[in-house]
Amino acid sequence: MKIIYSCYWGSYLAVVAASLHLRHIEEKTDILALPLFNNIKDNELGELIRVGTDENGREIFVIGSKKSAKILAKTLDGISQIYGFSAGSILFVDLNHLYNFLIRLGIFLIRRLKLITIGKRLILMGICKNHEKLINIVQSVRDKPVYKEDEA
Amino acid sequence: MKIFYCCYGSAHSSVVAASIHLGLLPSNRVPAPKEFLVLPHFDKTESFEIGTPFFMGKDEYDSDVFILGMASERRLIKKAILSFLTHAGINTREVMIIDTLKNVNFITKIGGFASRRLGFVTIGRPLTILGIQQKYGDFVKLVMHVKTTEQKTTQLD
Repeated sequence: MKIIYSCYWGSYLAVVAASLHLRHIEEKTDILALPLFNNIKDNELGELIRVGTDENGREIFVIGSKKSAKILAKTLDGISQIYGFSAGSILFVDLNHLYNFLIRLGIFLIRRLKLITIGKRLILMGICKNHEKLINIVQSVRDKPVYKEDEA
Repeated sequence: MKIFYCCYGSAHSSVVAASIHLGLLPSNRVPAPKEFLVLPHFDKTESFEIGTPFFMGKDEYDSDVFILGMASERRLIKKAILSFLTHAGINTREVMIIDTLKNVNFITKIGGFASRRLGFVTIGRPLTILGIQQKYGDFVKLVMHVKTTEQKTTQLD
């Protein structure tokens, strides 16, 4: 089973959610040290990047899907059915609704003004504001029944 | 092999290309309006269906032909599909994803917008057909190109 955490750029909310899922984050400041945090290039948008496997054998991915998350969720669902994987074998989690002003400002500073350190700090503050919601989403994903693909 | 013809809303250009591919539309002449109207999905796909791939048929090389609406981020979605298939252990040489929107002219765009987005089917539908008729030769060329590539790949296997 593949779980795909998605946000606009992939390297912020999606990376944090995937890392929460995999229990890579103990303290909020660990976020800044995540290898993929602020580290997905523009030419990697649309690519599924594998972050790890959880204790139930589910593969965890992140993806930067810009504004196409809703469409992409349907597409990947359809494609996986066409290739004979059943509907439960893929779970697409869109996190775009958790962007807030601080995260957007931070991204703007990083991308437009190249103010990376302060930008990352602002994003961290923004994510902390939505930390509870993010944890709830990840928890509900973790609680979903584990779907095991048939080897055939 | 699986072939996906893609455009904005999977209602016009992808339907036409897939239909030429499957012989539902002729390759040697420009079809009359009524020949477009009977095609499955033609000017019918709804906005909420964008993103869902629809099966159109099997061709002479036993390949499955689909249409798919990708809205505005077509390159990103194409990349995501190929990336997903790679991670799922599927050989992406057996997949062709073809963007048909480049064959769409202004008249079809206006017609598509009027019919699909605004719901003015009576005005929009004939315009989409007119625009496609004007560019029909390019659609046939595109499909021929796809078939040549498809044939080469199928023969190699």
